[in-house]
Amino acid sequence: MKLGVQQVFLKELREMARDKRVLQGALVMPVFIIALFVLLMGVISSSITESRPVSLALVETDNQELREQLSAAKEFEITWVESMSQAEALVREKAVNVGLKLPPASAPGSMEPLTAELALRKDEPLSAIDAARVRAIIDANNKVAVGMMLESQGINKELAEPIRIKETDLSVKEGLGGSQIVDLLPYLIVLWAFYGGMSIVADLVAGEKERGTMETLLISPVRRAAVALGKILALMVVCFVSAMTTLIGVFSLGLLKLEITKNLFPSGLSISFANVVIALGMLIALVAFFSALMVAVSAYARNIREAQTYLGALSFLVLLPAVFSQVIGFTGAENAKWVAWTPILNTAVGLRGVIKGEPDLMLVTGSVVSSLVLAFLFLRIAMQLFRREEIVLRV
Amino acid sequence: MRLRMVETENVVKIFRDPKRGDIRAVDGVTFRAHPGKIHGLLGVNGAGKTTLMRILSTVIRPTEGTAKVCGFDVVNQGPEVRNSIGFLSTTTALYGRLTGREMLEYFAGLYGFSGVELKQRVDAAIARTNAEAFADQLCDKLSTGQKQRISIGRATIHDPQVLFFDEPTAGLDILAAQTIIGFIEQMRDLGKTVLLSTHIMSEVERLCEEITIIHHGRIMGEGTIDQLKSQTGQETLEKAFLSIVAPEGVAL
Repeated sequence: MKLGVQQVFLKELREMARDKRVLQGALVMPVFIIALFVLLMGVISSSITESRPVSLALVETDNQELREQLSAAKEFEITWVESMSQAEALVREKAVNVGLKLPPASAPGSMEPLTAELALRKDEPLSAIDAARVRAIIDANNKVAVGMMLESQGINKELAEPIRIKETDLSVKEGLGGSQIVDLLPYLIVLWAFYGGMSIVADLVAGEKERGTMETLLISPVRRAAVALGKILALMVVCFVSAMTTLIGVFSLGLLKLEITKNLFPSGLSISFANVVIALGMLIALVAFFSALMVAVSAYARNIREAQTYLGALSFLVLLPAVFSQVIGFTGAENAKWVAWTPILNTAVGLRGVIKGEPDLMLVTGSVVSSLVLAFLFLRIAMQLFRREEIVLRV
Repeated sequence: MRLRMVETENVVKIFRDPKRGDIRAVDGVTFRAHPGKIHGLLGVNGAGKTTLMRILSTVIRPTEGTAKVCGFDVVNQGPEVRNSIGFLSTTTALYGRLTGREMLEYFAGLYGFSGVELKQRVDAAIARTNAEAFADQLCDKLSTGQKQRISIGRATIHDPQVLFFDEPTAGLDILAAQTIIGFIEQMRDLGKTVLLSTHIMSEVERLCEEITIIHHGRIMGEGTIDQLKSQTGQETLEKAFLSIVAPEGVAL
C-alpha cells in the first residue's frame, strides 16, 4: 500500500502543478486577496492616525480673542458660518465633519453654565472621530476653567479633577502581536486552507470518474485505500501551500516597509520559533481534516458539477466559524471550553493567540486533536467510498 | 489438459436499483479462456459483457459464483489478479496533464517497477507502440489514435499473461481500429490469453477462435464460429447470432 500511496501522491502533485486552476486558486488568489486587505487596512489606518486637522464649521463668535486663537490653531480647519443651521447643512452635505457653536463670552464673575452646540453625523466615521476630538478639547478647556476658578477662591486647582486615571496598556506589542493585521490573519489562513483545495478537489476524484481514468487506475494493482490516501495527501499539500501563501504574503508586504502599511507593522514581524512550530502543527492538522473531508465529498459525487455543488454548500460550514472567530472577542466566549472543542473555530481563535505570541494550551490542544480526529474519520469514510463499487464507478 | 487462464463458475452480478429493483446484469455465467487464443464475448449493448469484464478485472465483485484469472481468485486475490491482466477499452482514459511517457511511468510504478527497470519498461512500451514521436507530449494534445497507442503501452507495461479488451474499437476511425486489431493479434501470437468483448461481427470473424454469446446476462451460445453456424443452421455468424438472441426476428 505504501508504494501505491507514494505513486498516487506524486502523480497528483505533478498534475496539479500543471493545472492553472490550482495556481490561480491556491497561490495567486490568496496573495492577491491578502495584499488587497493589507493595503486597504493600511489606507484606513493612515487616514485615522495621521495628524489630520478637525474639519469644522464654526458659527461666528463675538469673542474676538477666541476667534483669533481658533483661526491660528493648526488642529482646526475652520469654515466660518453665520448660524448653526448653516453649520448643520454643511455637516449633512459632508462638506465638513462637525459643526460647532460656541457660547458667547460670559460676564465676569458669572456662575451660570454655558452651552456649546455640536452637530455631527454618527453614521460617518470621520465625523464621529472629529466630534470626539472637539469634545476632548472642550473637556480640557473646562478643566482649565474650573481650575482657574478654584485657584481664584484659594483652593488647590488640582481638585478640578478629583479622580485621575492612570492607564496601563498591557496589549502585546511585540512582533506581529503589535500589528492590526493579526486579528484578520487566522481568519484568512483558515479560509484559504479550505478554498485553496476546493479549487481542484472536484477534479481530483469526481473528475477521474467523469473522464474514465478512475477505472484505469482501479485495474492497476494499487489498493483503493492507497488511492484515497495518496489523493488526500496531495490535496493537503495544496491546502497547506494556499494557507501559507496568506502568511507569506503578509510577511512579504511587511518586509517591503511601504509607507502605506507602516502603521500595520509598528513593531516589526518577529514571531518566535516555538510559536511557528505550534502554528504549523495546528495548520497541518486542519488541512488534513479539510483534505479528507473534501476528497470524501468528491468521491461521493457522480461528476465534477455535483461535487462543486456539495463543496459550495460545505464551504458555508467553514465560513461560519471562521467569521465567528472575528467577532468572538465581543461575545466574551473566547475562553469558553466549548470554543476549544469546536472544530475550525478553535483553530482560528487559537492561531490568533499563537501569532500574537500568547498561545492558549487548551485551544491549541483542542484544535489539533479535533482536527486530527475528524481527519481520521473522513479518511475512513473516503476509503470506504472508494471501496464501494456503486459509488466509485457511478457517473 | 489445456491451461485455463480465465475461468468463471456460475457468476452472478445483481445491481440493486431503488427504482427498478434488482437487475441481474450477469446471470450464472460459466466459461473458460485459454492461452494463445482470442476468446470473444459477443452480445448486444447491455448484454452484460462489460459487467463480466469488470468482475474479471476486480473492479466490481460478483454477487454469486467464482471467477479466477491465472489461478487467482478475483474476490480474495485482487492485487494478484490485477498484476496478471491488462485492460483496454475506449472508456479507459489517459491523464490529460501528463505526457504519454509520464503516464507510462506512473503505471509502471503502480505495477511495482522502479529505477532502471522502470525506464526500460517505459522505453520498450513506447517502442512497441511506435509512440516515440509523441511520447513527450501532454496526453490532452494527442489524437485519438495516438492516445490509443499510449493506452496499449499502459495496458501491457507489466507484460501481463491475460488481456481484456472491452469494445476496444468503439468510436475509433478505421486506422485507429486497425492499430488495435493488429495489437490484439500480436498478443495472441505471443501466447497471451485474450478476452475480447464486442458486438462487431467482422472483428469476431477475423479474430476469435472461441466465442461466448451473452444476452440479458446469460450465456446463449458457445463454440467456434463454425460450431455456432452449425448449431443454428445459419450461413453467417451474424445470422447465427441473431437467431440466438432474437429468434422471433428483429422488430422494425
